[in-house]
Amino acid sequence: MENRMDKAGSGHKETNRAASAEEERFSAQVAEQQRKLYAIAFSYMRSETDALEAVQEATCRAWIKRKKLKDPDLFASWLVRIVINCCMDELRRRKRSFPTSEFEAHGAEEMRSGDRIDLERAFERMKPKYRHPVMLKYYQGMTTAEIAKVLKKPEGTIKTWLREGLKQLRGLL
Amino acid sequence: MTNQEEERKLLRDAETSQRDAEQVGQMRLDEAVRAGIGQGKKRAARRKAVYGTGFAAAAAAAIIALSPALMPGPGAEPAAQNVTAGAPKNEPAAEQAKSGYEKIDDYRSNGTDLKFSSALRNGYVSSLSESQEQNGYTVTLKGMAMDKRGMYMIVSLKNDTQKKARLSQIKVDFGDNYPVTWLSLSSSSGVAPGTSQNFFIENQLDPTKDYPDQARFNVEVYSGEFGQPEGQSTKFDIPFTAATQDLIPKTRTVEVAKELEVDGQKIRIERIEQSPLATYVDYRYEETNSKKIFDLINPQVKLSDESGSDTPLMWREYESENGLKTMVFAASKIQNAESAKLAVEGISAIEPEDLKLVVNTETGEIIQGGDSTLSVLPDKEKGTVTFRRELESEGENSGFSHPTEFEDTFTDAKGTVHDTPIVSEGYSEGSGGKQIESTVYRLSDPTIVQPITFTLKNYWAPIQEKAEVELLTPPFP
Repeated sequence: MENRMDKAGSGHKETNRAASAEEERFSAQVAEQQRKLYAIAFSYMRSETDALEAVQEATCRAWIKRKKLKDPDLFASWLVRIVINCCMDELRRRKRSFPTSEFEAHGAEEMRSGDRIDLERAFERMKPKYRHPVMLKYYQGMTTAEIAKVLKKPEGTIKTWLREGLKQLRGLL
Repeated sequence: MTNQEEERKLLRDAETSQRDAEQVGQMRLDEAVRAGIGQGKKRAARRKAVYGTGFAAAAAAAIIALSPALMPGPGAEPAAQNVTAGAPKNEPAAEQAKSGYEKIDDYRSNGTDLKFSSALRNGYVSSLSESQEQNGYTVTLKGMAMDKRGMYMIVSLKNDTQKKARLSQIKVDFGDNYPVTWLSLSSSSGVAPGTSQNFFIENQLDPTKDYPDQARFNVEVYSGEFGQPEGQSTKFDIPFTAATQDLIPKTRTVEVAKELEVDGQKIRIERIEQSPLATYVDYRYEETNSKKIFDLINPQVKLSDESGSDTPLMWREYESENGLKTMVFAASKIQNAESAKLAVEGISAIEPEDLKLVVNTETGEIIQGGDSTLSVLPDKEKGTVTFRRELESEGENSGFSHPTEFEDTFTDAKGTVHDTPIVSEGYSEGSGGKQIESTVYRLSDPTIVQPITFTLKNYWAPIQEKAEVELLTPPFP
């Protein structure tokens, strides 16, 4: 055991330094976006703890996949996409974990407005492809062009999805 | 309902959401991001840490650097007591008012790592006050906490020179027979002229040793860009008295000697150790297993007593001698658990006859071994070979890295044994519902005669089968 520990203690310093420099750059990039990421996560999760966990998970996934991002200009929209995926994964997991009635009963304990409950139920039933543009537009104030960048779809498609999203919402509310 | 009504509802709700979202504390947001990076590094390096280069890789994987951009200013609000992303909730009542111990209030503006903030918040960091000044630099040892397996140190650097200063060559020295592995330093950013900064340092200890209380802290301070010192560095050697026994009475070690069985394969759990700093589980794979186990899938420790239960986050894993492995989880709020269950969602394992992989790394042909998810992609120009796996997406678990790794040597067609190069690059990406895992090796030695026979050291072969074992048996120690 001692040899291995000593080896670890004295070797790999250069690797460590390079790794730290890269981490520093990555941290700074995420730091610029973290408020926005949190706001998006919060709009999906509606709980501080859950939103923080989504930001944490998104940062984790982004770190692992950071080398796959070829264009640094797309960092912000890429991160937003990841945080949305994290939120959706968690929401799907919860749906699987709790029978619907239990989930709803659990939710009903919290103080929420009628609108909020209606919207939550409606969002749950909406197709995700319609839900995301609606949330990004109305909750984050993003333009169609910005949403198109985040969701990697043409602007025309986003406009259609927004229209369809509102239509679905109308039917669900 | 008209479109306008829907939009009005949406906008009203959005306004509430935004207002609520603004309430989050900067420090908690910072902590979430830092914890995410730390978690990402662990996920990416976990298998490498265990199967690749042992402690060395674990050490490299555990560096946690805090960017200055992430550190709130002096006016930053205090961290919440109980709820922190990734941190154990409802921690025991803080003992931070104890004299002789460092107080969390003195470090709030630093944006400490979760481990340190928890130790500080709970009053486990003994105060130190040794200080040395040389060449315009003052290094001060401010605090330390250690259990049998790990040691935290808080050190400050005051820079009274005209150039930015950085720390390197950090070492805690208890003497030749007492190994200390440096794991992480909280920040790689420099200390600006005329300012001072606290650093948080994590070390790994050998649990079989009784460390003496007399120790030395060694560090070098240099000016210049990161990793590029300008001129001579200034060396510090600061003796100090370590509170080696302080947390021992609060540490509980239980010899478990039980088995967890998954797919007929046995994992022997040797012991669980709960300290104020972490929760450790020692285990090994039984030699009689019919399959070679590479990994446990999503291991969790669930601790409970009459007050409730807790599932601390897993921080890292390492392997020591004789196949003994240790999973390190966060410290739990439940320090004297009445039940401690180790649960896994399965194992990654294959039959011994499938451990051989015979490939022509020049053509990419797989002659023996592997499976339909594996392809071998040579790049003659770069002199690299990529082992690519196309795996089913793990959905919510995506983000875990599954590198394909080999034993330290391989044999070519002439029977010559060569050293396996270290992994030069590894990445994971999602694509069309698949998770693509690529592990790149630099293999351009012209004396190698094709094909090559590798022995797998790590290969993602999940066997999803949930299992759990109770680690504690009354009466409790």
